[in-house]
Amino acid sequence: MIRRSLILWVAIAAAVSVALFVVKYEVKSLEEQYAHLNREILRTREAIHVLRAEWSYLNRPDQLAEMAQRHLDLQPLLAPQMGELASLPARKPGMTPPAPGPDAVADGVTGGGIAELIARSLDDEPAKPAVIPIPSAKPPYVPAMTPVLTSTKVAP
Amino acid sequence: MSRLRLFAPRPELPSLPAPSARVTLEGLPQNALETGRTRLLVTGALFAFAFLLIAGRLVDVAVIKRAGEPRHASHGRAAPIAERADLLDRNGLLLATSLPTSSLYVDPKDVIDPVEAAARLVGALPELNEAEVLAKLRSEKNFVWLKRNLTPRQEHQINRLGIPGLYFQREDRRVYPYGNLVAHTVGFANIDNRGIAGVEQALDDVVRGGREPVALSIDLRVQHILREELHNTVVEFNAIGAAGIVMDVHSAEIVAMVSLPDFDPNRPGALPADTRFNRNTLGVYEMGSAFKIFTLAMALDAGTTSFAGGYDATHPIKISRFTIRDDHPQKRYLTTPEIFMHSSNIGSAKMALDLGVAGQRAFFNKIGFLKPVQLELPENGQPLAPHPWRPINVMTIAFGHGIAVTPVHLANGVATVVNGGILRQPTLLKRPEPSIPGERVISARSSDQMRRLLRLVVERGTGKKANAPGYVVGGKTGTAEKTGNGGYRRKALLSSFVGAFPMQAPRYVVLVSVDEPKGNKKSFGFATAGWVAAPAFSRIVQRIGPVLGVPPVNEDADEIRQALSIDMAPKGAPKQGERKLASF
Repeated sequence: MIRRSLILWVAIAAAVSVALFVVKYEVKSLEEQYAHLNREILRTREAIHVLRAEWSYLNRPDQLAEMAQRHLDLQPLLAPQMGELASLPARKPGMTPPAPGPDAVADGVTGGGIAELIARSLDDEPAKPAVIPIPSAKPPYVPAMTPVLTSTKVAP
Repeated sequence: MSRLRLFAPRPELPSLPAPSARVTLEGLPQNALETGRTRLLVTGALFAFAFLLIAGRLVDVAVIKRAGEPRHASHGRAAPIAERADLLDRNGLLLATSLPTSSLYVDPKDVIDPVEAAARLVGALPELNEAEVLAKLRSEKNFVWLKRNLTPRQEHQINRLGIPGLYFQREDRRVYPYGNLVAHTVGFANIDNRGIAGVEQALDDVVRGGREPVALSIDLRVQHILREELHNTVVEFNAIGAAGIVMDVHSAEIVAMVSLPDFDPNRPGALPADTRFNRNTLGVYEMGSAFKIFTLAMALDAGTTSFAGGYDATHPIKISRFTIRDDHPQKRYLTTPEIFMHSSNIGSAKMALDLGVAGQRAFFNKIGFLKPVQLELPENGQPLAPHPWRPINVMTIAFGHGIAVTPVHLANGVATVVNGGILRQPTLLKRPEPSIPGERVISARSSDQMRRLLRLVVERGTGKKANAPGYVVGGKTGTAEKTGNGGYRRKALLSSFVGAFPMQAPRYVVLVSVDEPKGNKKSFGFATAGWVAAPAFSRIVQRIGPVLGVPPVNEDADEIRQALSIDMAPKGAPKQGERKLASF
């Protein structure tokens, strides 16, 4: 009896010490990993920080404006280029409706008018902008203004 | 043997021949044994109690409190990367940030051969002076800066030299990615990361050690447009400088603020000190006819005149050694709207006289023109007001001479006049709430009348060139002769245009002020506000309108016309006007 319990206890003690050993080393390696990850996070955050500064530097509005002028077929939006949906001409009588909605039959194809058309188009697409830019010809490229004062480069 | 031996009487030993033989154990030995047992008992109880406590605590920690343990490893709030918090614009763009750099210092005691070390150091960093470096390497201290804020490449080169005694210290360097664009507002910090100008100085305590970036009210896109247009105007008219402000009329946030000439905050010392002068907040100027806005506002609000009223502007006013004349003389009786439209000095001087010294001073006090604006900047100019305030001052102030305020004062004053009459504290910080409480300066009705008058100036008056189709702008020109050499210099002008848009429901005030423009062929030699500042104003509004989300409208639409129309009194002198004339 005593012998058997002794063996049992010794076995348990051995198992526990082995487990303790294993766990201890596992914890140690996890801690190293943790510290390593923390260092990595810090480094990455620093890198992000520096890259954000560089991104800002590269996105200076004067530089963007000049590049847009040189490479894009766009020009600043002027007020006459914007219109309102309400200023669109009313649908001519006899025209077929653009898309037969669920109540297209009920309101009569010809009598709907522009207000109903707008209401429906807004129902369908709530995010539709109220003003529509109308394209116009791009003026020839003029070199950007010469800066009065020179700016320094950012040391990344 | 299940009984605890401690308490057991000593066992009978039957093998002993006679009880009498145990008598020897009585007395002293018996007592010693009893003492030993008691001590054992106490000690055992103590240990048992201690183990129980530990067991109890174990159960407490491992079983009961386990739920309170965090499920995830957290590194807490990460330490801030930099000493100073970032500054952002209102859309989150980076106006100022700190970048980690290395600074090189030397501990001269560790340097073995100063001469050779100095020579090699200067080889790697050619901008250093060899003699100075040598002196530093030979100094008696144990910490001497050699060069601050090295680039990574320079750091690598120094490391490769392998000179003992050289060490690197990690430091932050303040960087302003947009350079000149927001120079005066943001300001700059010195090499020890202390703010010494602009918001960097004013909010130094908040920025230093702050983890949360600080958002300014500046919109970088608007700022860029404003700067570019002002710059073009300065070049076109060969001016010595310019100032411009875009302000939200409801929140009093400054959306853009430009002062030219400007400087690069990354290298603040590279240009003369006057480039660091902020014309918008530190400079005080006589704003000229733009002040008629306030003359009209106070007169209409006080009821001393009305749209139907007017004053005779046929003859210049002579008072002591001054003569007040009109720049656009009509030489006739002018109604109130006409006085404003033609920018009549005579008419507005008479109008102000009806209000008197007390009325004018009280109004300027109420609208904040007699004390500095409390912007988040270290540089806020003190306005110059006459002392004592005499009737002659009342007349000259009516058309903007004799009182000098900063452009920010003027912009905020116009915002107050057009926004319904509420004065709010202007700010450079983004307001979390779009509208804040303010103080009523003029009635909503007077504000409505002023909107009509300002629109009239652009439609039919001196500010026609300020028109920006679709944006219903309104405003007032102001051409002031600058003072100097004990008088006014006729050729040195400060040409300003201040206005708001869209006039039927104003959202933004724009101020353009050009310092000493010279007339050119295109302007037929004129350097006045209508030719210099008004066109710039128009271009600025047309470009910032879409950026700020102001929808263009049809200016001829009935509701717009109605909101801004003025029932111009028939020409000739109505009866009320005559009475006022007689009072002068």
